[in-house]
Amino acid sequence: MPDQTGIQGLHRVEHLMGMPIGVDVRDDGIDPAILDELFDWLRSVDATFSTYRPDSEISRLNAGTLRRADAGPHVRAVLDRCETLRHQTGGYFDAHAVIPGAIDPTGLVKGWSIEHAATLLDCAGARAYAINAGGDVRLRGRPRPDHGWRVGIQHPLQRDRIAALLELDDGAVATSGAYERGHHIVTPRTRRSPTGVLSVTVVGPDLATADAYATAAFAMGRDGPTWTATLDGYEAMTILTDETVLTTRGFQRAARRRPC
Amino acid sequence: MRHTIAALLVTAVAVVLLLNFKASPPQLTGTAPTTTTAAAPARTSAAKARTGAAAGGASGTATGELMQHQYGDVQVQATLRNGQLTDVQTVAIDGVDGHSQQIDSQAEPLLRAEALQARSGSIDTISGATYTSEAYIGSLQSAIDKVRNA
Repeated sequence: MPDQTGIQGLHRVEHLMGMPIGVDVRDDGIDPAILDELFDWLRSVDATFSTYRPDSEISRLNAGTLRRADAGPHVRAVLDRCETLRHQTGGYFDAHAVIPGAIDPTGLVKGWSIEHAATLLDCAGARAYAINAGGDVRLRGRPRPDHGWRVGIQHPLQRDRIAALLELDDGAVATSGAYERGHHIVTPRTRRSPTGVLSVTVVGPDLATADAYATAAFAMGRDGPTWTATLDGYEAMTILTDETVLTTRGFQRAARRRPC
Repeated sequence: MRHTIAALLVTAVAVVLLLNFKASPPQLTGTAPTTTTAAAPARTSAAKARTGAAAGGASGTATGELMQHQYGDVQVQATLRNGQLTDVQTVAIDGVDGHSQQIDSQAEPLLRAEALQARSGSIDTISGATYTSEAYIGSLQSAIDKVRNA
């Protein structure tokens, strides 16, 4: 979006993987062809991982017509990482818990594919950009010289409000909550939506990890905030059903970060 | 256990109510939402009403892409003046069932106010936005892009 500095930048929004994905590059002089490459990449990810497409590798794995060893390198890498995150989160991030009897790595694919999209922008020379994929955000640089990216955290109960305002230069912000897309997160042990928590926002260097941590912490319910305080390199804000806000110390710092 | 609990900070509810988008000009929330129940509108709708080259940024009106969310469709029209967003109109807002339509009808004027506030420069992007509002913002962004690229 052009601003007071007169920088034109690059912008595009497309509807992919079941959500609008917006790319907002604030550098001048970046070849617009990078956006074609970026969205082509996301389309190829959707074709490979979608559980809604019967010919995707994930659908064929679940149908038993494709063996895991014969899947492509992207699928194997994502499934391996899902396993790692399942261990890291004590089973609360579980690609097997979404659809009974089947694997659905969608919860990791979004962040993983956006991380690669960010790398494409890096390689094209972009130094200030935001990618917003269905409310999960990957950022680099500064939109304006005097301050970083201002990220509003959606209020979980009132859709015309934001719950908090973060300002940061680089990193990822992911929010999980029952209010978006209905109750799509279930606690693995009970297969029910967790109670006591409205939303969890996680900030950190990698969007896939932040997204998985937010999903896991939300699934933990009232135990989530304590768990988020143990995370290395990631900070979290949890909004409980009584609208109490619990934040890790680093999250407060991120929220307070101001231009020097 | 005590150590990790001590590492958490409890913040007052006031943080939750940091910003209130309802503080938008009243004339921007006066129109009734347009509800369409027919088939989805065509995706090719670059309805550029006017373009004026003015110092400081693009001016004009354009209709954004039709964006789908889980419960229906959203399409908005944006008007810019000297690069600033001055008005947003909902061209189509459609839920797949009565309940969604009700949600959309409630959400639309609020989202419109939110969009105008957000584009005033205070917020760059939103994390954890609802499905409807993400689709709304997506359509709005494409409308803004069309005006700027005209």
